[in-house]
Amino acid sequence: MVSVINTVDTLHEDMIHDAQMDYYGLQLATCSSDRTIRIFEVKNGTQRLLSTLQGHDGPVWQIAWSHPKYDKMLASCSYDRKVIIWKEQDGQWNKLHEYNDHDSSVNSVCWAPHELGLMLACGSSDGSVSVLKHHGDNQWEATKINNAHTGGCNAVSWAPAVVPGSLIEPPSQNQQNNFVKKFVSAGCDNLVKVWCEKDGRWEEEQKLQAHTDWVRDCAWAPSIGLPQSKIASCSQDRRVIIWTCDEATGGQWSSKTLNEFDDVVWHVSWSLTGDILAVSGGNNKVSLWKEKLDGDWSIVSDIKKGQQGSTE
Amino acid sequence: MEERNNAVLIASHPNIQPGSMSVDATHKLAMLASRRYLTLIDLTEPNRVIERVNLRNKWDVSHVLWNPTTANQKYFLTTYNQWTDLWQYEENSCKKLATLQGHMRSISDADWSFTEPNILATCSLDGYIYVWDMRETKRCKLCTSSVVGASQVKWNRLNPYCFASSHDGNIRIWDSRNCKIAVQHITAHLSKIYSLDWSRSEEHMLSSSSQDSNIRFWNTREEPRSPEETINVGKPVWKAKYTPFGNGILSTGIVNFRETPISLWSLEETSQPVITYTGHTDVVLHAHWRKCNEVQNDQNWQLVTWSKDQTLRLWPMTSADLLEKNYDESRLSSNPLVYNLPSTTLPNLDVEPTDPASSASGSSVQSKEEDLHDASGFTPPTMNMIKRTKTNSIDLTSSHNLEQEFKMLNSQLPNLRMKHLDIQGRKSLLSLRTTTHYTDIHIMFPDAYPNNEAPIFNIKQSNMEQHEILNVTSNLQETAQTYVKTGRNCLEPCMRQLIAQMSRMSYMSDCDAEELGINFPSPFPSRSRQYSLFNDLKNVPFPRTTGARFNQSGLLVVFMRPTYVKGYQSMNEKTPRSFMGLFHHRNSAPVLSVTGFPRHIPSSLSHMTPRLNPAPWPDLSVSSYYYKEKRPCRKSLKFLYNPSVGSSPKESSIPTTNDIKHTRMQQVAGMVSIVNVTSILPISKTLAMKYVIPHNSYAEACRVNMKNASSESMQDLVQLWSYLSVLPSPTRLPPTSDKFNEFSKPSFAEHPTGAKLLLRVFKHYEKLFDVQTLAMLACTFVPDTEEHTTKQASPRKQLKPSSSYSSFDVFDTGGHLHKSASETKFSDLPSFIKSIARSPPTSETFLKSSIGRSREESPVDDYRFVEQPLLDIAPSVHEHWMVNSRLLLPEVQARCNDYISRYADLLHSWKMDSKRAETCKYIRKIQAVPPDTKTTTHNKIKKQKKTCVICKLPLTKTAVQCIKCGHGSHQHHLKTWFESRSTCPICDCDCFDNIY
Repeated sequence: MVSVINTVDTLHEDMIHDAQMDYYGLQLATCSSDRTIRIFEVKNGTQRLLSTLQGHDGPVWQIAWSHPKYDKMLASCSYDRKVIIWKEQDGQWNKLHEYNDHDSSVNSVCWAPHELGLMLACGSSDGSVSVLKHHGDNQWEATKINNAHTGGCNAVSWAPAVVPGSLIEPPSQNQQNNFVKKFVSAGCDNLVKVWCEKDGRWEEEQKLQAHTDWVRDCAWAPSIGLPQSKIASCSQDRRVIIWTCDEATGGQWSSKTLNEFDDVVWHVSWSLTGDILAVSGGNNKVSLWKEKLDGDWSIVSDIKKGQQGSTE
Repeated sequence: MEERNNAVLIASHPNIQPGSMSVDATHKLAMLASRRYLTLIDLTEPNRVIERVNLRNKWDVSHVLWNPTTANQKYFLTTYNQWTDLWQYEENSCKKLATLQGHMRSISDADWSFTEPNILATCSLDGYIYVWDMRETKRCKLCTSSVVGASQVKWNRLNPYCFASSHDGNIRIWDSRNCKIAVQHITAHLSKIYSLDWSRSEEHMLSSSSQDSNIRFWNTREEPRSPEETINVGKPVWKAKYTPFGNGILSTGIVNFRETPISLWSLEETSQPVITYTGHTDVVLHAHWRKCNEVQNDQNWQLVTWSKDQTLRLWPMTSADLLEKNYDESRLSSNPLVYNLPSTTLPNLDVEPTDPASSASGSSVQSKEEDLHDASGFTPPTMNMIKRTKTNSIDLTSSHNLEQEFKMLNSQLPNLRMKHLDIQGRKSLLSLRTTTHYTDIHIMFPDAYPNNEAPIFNIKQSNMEQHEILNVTSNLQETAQTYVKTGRNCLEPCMRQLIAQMSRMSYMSDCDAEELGINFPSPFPSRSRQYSLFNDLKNVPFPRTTGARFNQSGLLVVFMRPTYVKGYQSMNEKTPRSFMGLFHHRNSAPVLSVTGFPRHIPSSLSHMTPRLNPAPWPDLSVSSYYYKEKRPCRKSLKFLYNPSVGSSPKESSIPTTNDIKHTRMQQVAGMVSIVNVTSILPISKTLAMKYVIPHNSYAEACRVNMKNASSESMQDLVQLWSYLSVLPSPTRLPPTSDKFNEFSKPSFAEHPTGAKLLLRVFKHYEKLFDVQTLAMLACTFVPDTEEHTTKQASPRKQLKPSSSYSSFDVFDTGGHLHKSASETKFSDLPSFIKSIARSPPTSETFLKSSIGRSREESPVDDYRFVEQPLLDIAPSVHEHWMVNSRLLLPEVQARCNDYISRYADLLHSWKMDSKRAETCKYIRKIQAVPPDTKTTTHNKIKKQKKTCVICKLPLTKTAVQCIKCGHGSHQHHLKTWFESRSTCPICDCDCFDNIY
């Protein structure tokens, strides 16, 4: 049911902390404690190392591909407090921009939906979240939300771009490009927070409280056009919580615990249609969860150690 | 000035484990708390222990605190783990009165109220602060809660209701009359606050000290946004307390002997401390201002300090007067007094006292100096060491410094032995030893050391390999440089580093963990901003080593630790949350007694991890948290790459670089798998390729799609398309006047299997998140824009007659259906169908029997119900024909654009750009775009020049544009597009003829 189509030996000299495929599923980027990022071309079961990006002075925690609309860019964040934006030009990867304004390890980077323009959110252990906005000509404007999370921000994830109200009633012409800018962040204060840009300033829109320990990751589900927002968050308390908010019912968020695992949960990732959630954690297991028609969640697949897909 | 008791006394208590200290309200008794015992000391005779209480429990006493009020001065409290004990000291004996229970996690602080003799507060990492009444010990009086655990709680000294608590870098002010929420929140520091203290004279003034090296002062009268004042001490501040006299503050640092541990600051002049007290060789745990009770003079205070070096020190009297005067003259503030007390065991050194310039300082200072010397009769013989000097000069004679430095080394590093020490010649020979390695190191100290002159390290004799020696020596030099640059002593950190490195080598040979050698750069890339290692580690989440990531095109990337790499944790233990966990794990010895982090390490592991001492920078990688299971195949692997191994075990511990590299990547970094999960996703790439949008030849297209679905064995989609194929074509024109009577006939849409069923279908697929089917449905049923329907029958409609389903007549269609139905077993059930048709609500039940089932379950046969004839339907209202004939209800229609555009994005990520452009045609603008005119054409071309209409990427390569509609595209896209079509990818413009 789930099949491994390619296995890549990354040749990293230390533990891998993130691996991401690009938009088209042609290139793979990995980052590791050995302070490098590696980019592979993956085709028909084979792999070819295209580039090794060196520039960080500490373990690289997370990477993110930009939308192909904005050429091939990769953002990376590291323990060395830096965020680096890399760009490919004629097969060569170069450092395009380096952002240095965090006071502690930067734990998460996430590109905004392409409709909002070229924008990057970064969450750091110094408790702040930065939003970098590209103004053309390699000018990056940084907006910093200080004290977004007491104790540190562990993850950021953008909401899909929607025009306000468009999912309930048809938008009028002049609203067409007026997308809502929203993202969700998770932190060491056990909170998940929803941020919304209003008049050029980032404001805390919601504070989602249910976890009892550090929230390690959060992910806003992609939208297929339904008037519902969905966020998954996972935590040191070993739980994954699904937060939903129906636009029609006035924007109240409700929470539902997906499952309690046997070790801390580090990571959640939504499939492109927002119905399958990949969960991974300290127990070295990856499981896929699917929402059933009655709204319950069930495990559809367990990707076990030894990395063989198995069916259930 | 009257006679003062300037006793400078060092009372060494090697038997008392360092812990908390408290001085009682009479300023006479000091209670020292340690693991097993409470020790009571009379401060007039600090070497004598009055009373020793065996606690008989296994917990460390974290706090001991005398009641500060005179009414209840005989009471004191102790806290350990989650409990608080109340004690009474009377007639020379301590008696335990009660235990206060309530906290769920260990208590981080406790404080007696200064105004209410019976009230105390405790706070804990569990997030609660409890206020207790001594007379009611069963349960707490009040309780406040917060998400982040409190590390400090302090009562206001003047206001009986007010208390403050610190939560990481934030302060909350509470009112005990209303504990539900904090009165104020102060975002005070960037890092953890170590201490809070209320002013003794001003009700609203609060001081806070933090890891971020600042002492800040807050006025809590109004919600303070910024501190009233900040003192930057330059290093983390462990405690900052208001002095009971004058307007001063006493700060104690967290760092070790190299730094000045205690400083007295004047709040009028904060650029430099007034007095610094040096001498303690370890962290000062507690400092207390004590009034000498024999002399009832308010002006004289004595500082009592208790340090981790297990000495209790009583410092020279400080007169508040002196303090004030100094501020006025601001002489001492620029020329601070240093009381330098060498540790008792140091041999006397001949020290030339101070620069001559200082002898010109004020008389009060002079007299003080004399006082100090006078007091020598009372103090240990080392008293003649006391001297006054500038802190910033090197005058603290470097040889003495060196001596002290070596002294420290011996006591702190057990695996180090001094073979030879020549203080005058400024050189030494040290011998270091770990389980497997040993080395003799010769160190030469330049005269200027430690002021920008690093010592020279020379490894004399060692069993380390040559390259390791080189590596080790260069690391030592590097570390030494960073320290001496700022004038700090570097011997201890250097030796720690060396031992750490050597231990790691041993460790490697012990358990084949080469990857442990991969470190963060050390020292960390120099940054102007100074942040503590501990704070960093504490806040940085534990690195992920497993993960799964979806990408846009439906692939899942999975990375994991290899199966043979195991975590050190035991069965019931979670992976630590922060990097700190890793740190603790590597250093099983307690690191800091400041934080409440779990310090324990599974006992089973202690033999596996070397006891490394904290290095100046994190000398660790997450891979050190995991260990590899010994596997037989590993040996053969090693053999393969280093055939010379095998005979000598010593050799195997030093693998070649190649070997290391290979085994490392084999062992630490797991493989990254790319997993195809499309089979469990609701969408299908192959279907996307084959799907035809049913428009031109509606029914045929539906049947084609049905076949496609069946070839992909998507049963429910087969059913869906078979249902759709029997519906009348949705692209219908309104009846023309000559077919007037058709208005009176009910439209198909009104039938239960019409619009309502379609709505259910949409709802069903929404629940499945099947954006592909939704988009296809949307494309099929989305109505043409007004223009299209009215202006002309668009080119594709001219093709329509070829379809046998083009009839507008519902009954005709129904008749046709009937025919097709005969192919199935429909005719068996005419009466049943009739009943359904008559009662519309049953369409719901009908649906449940068919579509409501899950994809795999529902058999094809169910779908024969769809093909029911449209018989006895009540006549509809004439005027609403247009509205009623809509198959797509408006609530669904609003979302169609989203479905289509999301699906289009998906097609793009699959690189099916032609399909995508075709689909995008059905995105309907809500407001009609004004019809094109010649004049706007050119503007249009300009405007749309930027992106390709097919792949939506910027038009940079050869591009072609239509002169009429202005839509442009990459040449190669258009080539494939026009191979099969003749209209524009975006609109209905006949671009093929208009391209330029």
